Amino acid sequence: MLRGAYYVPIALAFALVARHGRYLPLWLPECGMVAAYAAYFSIERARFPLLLGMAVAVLAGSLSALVAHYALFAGHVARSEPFAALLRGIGVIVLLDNIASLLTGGYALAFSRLAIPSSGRFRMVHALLGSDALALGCVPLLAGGLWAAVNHTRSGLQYRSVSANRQVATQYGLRVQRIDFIVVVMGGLLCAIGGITNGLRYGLTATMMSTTALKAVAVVVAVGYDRLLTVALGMLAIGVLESLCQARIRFSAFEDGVSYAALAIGLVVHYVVWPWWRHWRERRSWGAEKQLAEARL
Amino acid sequence: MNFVWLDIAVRVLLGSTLVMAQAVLLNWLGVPFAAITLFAGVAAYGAVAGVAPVIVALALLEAAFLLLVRPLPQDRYLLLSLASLALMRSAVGAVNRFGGQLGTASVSTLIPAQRPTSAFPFALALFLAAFLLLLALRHSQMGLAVDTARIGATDFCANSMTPVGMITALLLGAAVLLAAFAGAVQGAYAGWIDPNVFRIDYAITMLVATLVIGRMPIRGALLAMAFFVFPDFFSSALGYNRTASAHIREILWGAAIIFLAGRGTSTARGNQ
Repeated sequence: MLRGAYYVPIALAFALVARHGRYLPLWLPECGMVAAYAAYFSIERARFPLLLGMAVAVLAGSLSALVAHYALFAGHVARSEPFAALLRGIGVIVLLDNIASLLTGGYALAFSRLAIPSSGRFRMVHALLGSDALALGCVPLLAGGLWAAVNHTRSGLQYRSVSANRQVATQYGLRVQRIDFIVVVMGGLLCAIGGITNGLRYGLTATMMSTTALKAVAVVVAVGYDRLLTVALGMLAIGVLESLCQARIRFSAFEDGVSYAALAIGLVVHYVVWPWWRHWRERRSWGAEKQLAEARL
Repeated sequence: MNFVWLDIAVRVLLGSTLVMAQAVLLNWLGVPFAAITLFAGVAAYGAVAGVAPVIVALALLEAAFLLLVRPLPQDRYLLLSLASLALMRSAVGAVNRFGGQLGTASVSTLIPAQRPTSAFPFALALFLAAFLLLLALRHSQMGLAVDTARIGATDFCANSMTPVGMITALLLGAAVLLAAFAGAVQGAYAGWIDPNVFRIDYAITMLVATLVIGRMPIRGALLAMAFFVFPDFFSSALGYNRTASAHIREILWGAAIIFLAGRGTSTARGNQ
């Protein structure tokens, strides 16, 4: 479950921005990498106090999201071009991952700063890190908070309206630009949290977010980006399944394939099986109605 | 030419063949397919699994991707093609007969492992076949039909003028064939195959190269070769680390993708 908890902020950010822009923002989790590296350099190298370093990192993550969105993706969102946006997202991932890899010489950086003081009495706590507690705490807080904000507030209604139809929302006087700004900042913020917690637990690598991004995409696409709580639960389930696969030698090869299996099944069910089933049911009911009409005649 | 450069030539030619095969689908036909390495990887396992199971697996995969072209939106189709790589990597890694996650030796009587002199003719023949296919698409009536089929994704009149399904099946078959032969040569030449042939980041590298080469056969072939020869050439000419050269290549081409995707060069088929 812990493993899944580390993915949850990224998946929530992804779902939030994907629903808003009607595209798959593969680039967004990279803001988490920017934040994680910013945290490392400000805390470890520049010797900033922990809280100040974290604040700088979160700011860096949100700023990078804003810059990327307005420089590269805002046009695609306005023109509804999901494929071009996806390709550009892949370009951004390739660019950022390779820059990070080149700057660090391809080496991973250790960044474990939140160790919980171990105690003989609490063996469970002994195995946990501070980042684990942070990640676990973030799950109900972020998932519940975001779900409530999106589904039960006035701002959430505006967000849903813009997500449903930008043109109509603009004609009805909603401030679409402001909502764009807030959504991207929120997405960057969530990714920054996800990136920093991931970095604290697993260390920093250039590709630390690209794999996580694909897992988040898999779950969000499989369950639908308008179901925030299901996305969070799905991510936790993926973490559990991955850990179970890792624990069994026979299934260890499937550790990385769990989320992709969910993606493939979700896509086939959503775009092939479900439309076919609906079509079949309609034809059947139409046939029954026709038979009834013929019997009456 | 010494063996080092012959080895580089073999790798460049095989990589370029894969890129050109993928370009047939992505750039010419507009099918957002990004997993050409899936077919190459499956064929590479032919040395261990046998020819018949590999042919069956390739045919099933091709049929599945063909059936999903129409119902899936293009961004989802691209993701599914990448996901299929990860799934295949997991599936192959779980089979003990294939050496699990560590892989196994691939022995071929036709192409001995690490012998560039024996692999070079095959690599060159495959490269020329892919290049001729691109030339044919550029200059023949078939190419005109492919262009119409691509436009048919968004234009109803164009869609009614060409047998889109037939053309898609034909080109997918050609791309699968090229990729399978390239993969088989690659597997035999490397002498060792493991599930890493299905890595997503390798497929993304291929995707980057595919998007950049566009729809010009000669320029595309040269760009594809330049893409793969760059790290070796750069490190040989300037004495720079080969891995760092590969990073520089990816940075430059990643920037090119960002620029090209913004100009809307790749119009792929499917629902938006």
